[in-house]
Amino acid sequence: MKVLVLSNLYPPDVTGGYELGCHQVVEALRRRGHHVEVLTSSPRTPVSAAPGVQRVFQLSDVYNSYIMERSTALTRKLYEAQAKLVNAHNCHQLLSWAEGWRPDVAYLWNLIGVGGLGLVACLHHRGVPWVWHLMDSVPTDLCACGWGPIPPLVREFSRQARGSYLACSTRVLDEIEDHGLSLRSASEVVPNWITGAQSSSCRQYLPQGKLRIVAAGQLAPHKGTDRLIAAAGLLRDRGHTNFAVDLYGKLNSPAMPDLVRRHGVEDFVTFRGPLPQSELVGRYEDYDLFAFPTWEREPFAFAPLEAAARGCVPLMTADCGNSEWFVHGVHCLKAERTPEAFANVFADVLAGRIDLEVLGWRVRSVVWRDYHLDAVLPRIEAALTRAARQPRRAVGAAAQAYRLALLAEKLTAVFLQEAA
Amino acid sequence: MAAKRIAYLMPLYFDERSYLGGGERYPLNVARGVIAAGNGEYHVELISYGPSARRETLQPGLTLRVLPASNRPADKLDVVSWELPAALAEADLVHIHQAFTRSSEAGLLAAKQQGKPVCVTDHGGNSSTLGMYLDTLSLVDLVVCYSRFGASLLQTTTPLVVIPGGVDAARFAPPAERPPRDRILFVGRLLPHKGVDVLITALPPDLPLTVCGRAYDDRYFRHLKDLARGKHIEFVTDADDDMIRGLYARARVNVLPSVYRDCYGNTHRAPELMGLTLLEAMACGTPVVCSRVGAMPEFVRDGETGFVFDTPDQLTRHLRHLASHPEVVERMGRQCRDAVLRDYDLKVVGEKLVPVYERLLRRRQGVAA
Repeated sequence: MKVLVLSNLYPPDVTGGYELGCHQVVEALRRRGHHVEVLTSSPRTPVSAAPGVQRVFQLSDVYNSYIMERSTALTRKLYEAQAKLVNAHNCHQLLSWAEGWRPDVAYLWNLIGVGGLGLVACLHHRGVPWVWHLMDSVPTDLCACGWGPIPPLVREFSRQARGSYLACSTRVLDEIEDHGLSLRSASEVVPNWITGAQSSSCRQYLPQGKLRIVAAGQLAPHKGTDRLIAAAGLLRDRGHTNFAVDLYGKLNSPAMPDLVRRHGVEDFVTFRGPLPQSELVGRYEDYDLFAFPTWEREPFAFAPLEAAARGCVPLMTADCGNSEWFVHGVHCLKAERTPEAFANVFADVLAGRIDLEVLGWRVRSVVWRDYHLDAVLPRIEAALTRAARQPRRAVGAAAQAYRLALLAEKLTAVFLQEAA
Repeated sequence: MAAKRIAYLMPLYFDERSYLGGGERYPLNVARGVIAAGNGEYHVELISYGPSARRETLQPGLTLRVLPASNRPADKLDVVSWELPAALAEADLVHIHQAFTRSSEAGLLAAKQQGKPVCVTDHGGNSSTLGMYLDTLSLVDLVVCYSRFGASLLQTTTPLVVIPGGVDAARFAPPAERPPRDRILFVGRLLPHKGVDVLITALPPDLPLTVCGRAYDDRYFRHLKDLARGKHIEFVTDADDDMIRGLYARARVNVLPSVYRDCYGNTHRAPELMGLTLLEAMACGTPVVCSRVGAMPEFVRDGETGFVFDTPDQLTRHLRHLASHPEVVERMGRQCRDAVLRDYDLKVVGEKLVPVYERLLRRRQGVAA
């Protein structure tokens, strides 16, 4: 099967698990004998060329908060429109590839930054079937400019989109549908995964009674880093000193170290910086709990899963996307997203009221069995195959699609400027 | 069998609440012609814009759908609505009226993106050059022109058909009993490119003139009133169709003196793509006089249904001639009515347009199959 993958970023140029996951699936599909080409954006910093990866898209990097915050309102809107609605250059690239390479199916990932709606419209125009892997509310975000989703745009997307979806959690689908996009009938929930081979190491929990807590990824309020620091403070206030919290990830501002000082937990909380993913997963064996007080709209983060595969028990916000896949007290621990609730669990573990060893063994087993990419990939493959077998009906020629993209891009810019 | 749904997209519609011009009356007339020629197989929906959404039935098979405007453009032709893609989704074919406006560009995008067959008729509106820059006419399946002059202005490789006319000869008909013909008449919007100032200047002082039309340009209207001092000129700025029919009936001649270069020095590339009021007067059995401008000479048969003039002096001579030869007026008037019934009535246009639509719809079905 010829699979054309579209993704805003692609390793080694990444912001998070979405792009890493994309890369893992691409490599797995290739190993299964599929011909996979990736269309992505030119990298934000130089990277080496890789076979089968075409870095031909322009990226409107709306994730660059430094630039966005310093732009005028109109510039921001124009930038956002190009990032989400349509980028004619990227449409041209896609159409050229679709014409020259003739994929059986397009496999869409995160399309924010590359004018995702325009790309989807081009696929429709040329009758290329598609499957969209959702690890976030990307379709909703693409229909939003400024403060939130634009209802008529959401309506039109729902009416016209004719593809299928793989979503990493029902939370993602719920969130998308709460904004009026209707995907449910064309969607399938497929969990995120781990990769690699299982090590046979026998691990230890709470050595010398010390609770070793880890968190990794973005160190930011929406991931709950601030609550975790506060929980460490509460635990210390209750008289516990035999614990450590290690935070892995890039610090983008001094806010979190300031918070550690404010809570007076410098002796307990350590910023360990970012690590390559391969190195990080090895470190999880040295920890007892992966603390994840993330926001409720967390779709399904990879890091807790990777930690669980090493027997590091996830403690997570009770109703985030990750939590719907695991049972509290069986494979994981769930808590309210408050410092108090997290501190209570830490205290229970320290007091021996929770047996981490049993939880760790169970979650490790279930993750290697059900959440390894080898277990998940057949479902992905089946979805791609189903899509590829659908009858194709092109609406018009590639040149027509490109001219429409140009018209859409310029009309959008004119409307935004006139409305400013 | 379900009726084929044709959407007529136009930035403005013929109504006091929107705009009263030939470019707005034409789609309404042609829609009626298509319905008449289609024997119940066609439903035409006029889609336009307003402050709020509404839908009304104008006659069986003909609806007007007003979409809530999403913007407040400087030029009224640049209006758009978020509701447009959904409104066009119901159509089997989209006929866009006005070629180079923001409304038409958005309509073309929404229609072609949904794979609809699209034809376009240019009415001379020129509020956006974006479409010309991107050659959006090449996205269109067919350009429908109502004059050879109009067709000559469009540089496009897209197939093009000329179907002249589109007047409602049932609505505009000779009166059962014609009142005395006692005046020269102008009917049209009071805008500089209409050349009403030329007519007033050329008007012999002893001949009465009625100038009938909406005063859409205050400065020009004041200028016309200044020019009219000392002459027998009446301005009617609020006439409805009944009144206009009465004026046609009483007119010796209806004059359309449009210009390429107006009294302010502004040039107009396409002042008249047809001159619908000429055809309305002809339908009422009233001779017509026009300047040799735009498409008008294609519709006025010089010496048979009226006269075509090149200079104000010629205009003056034609007016004097017709005023002093009532038998010529009556003969020309009869020939006018005959010409309209034969060539320019909306039913004739509808009969020519239906096969055009059928070809486009068949081609679309072929693609779908």
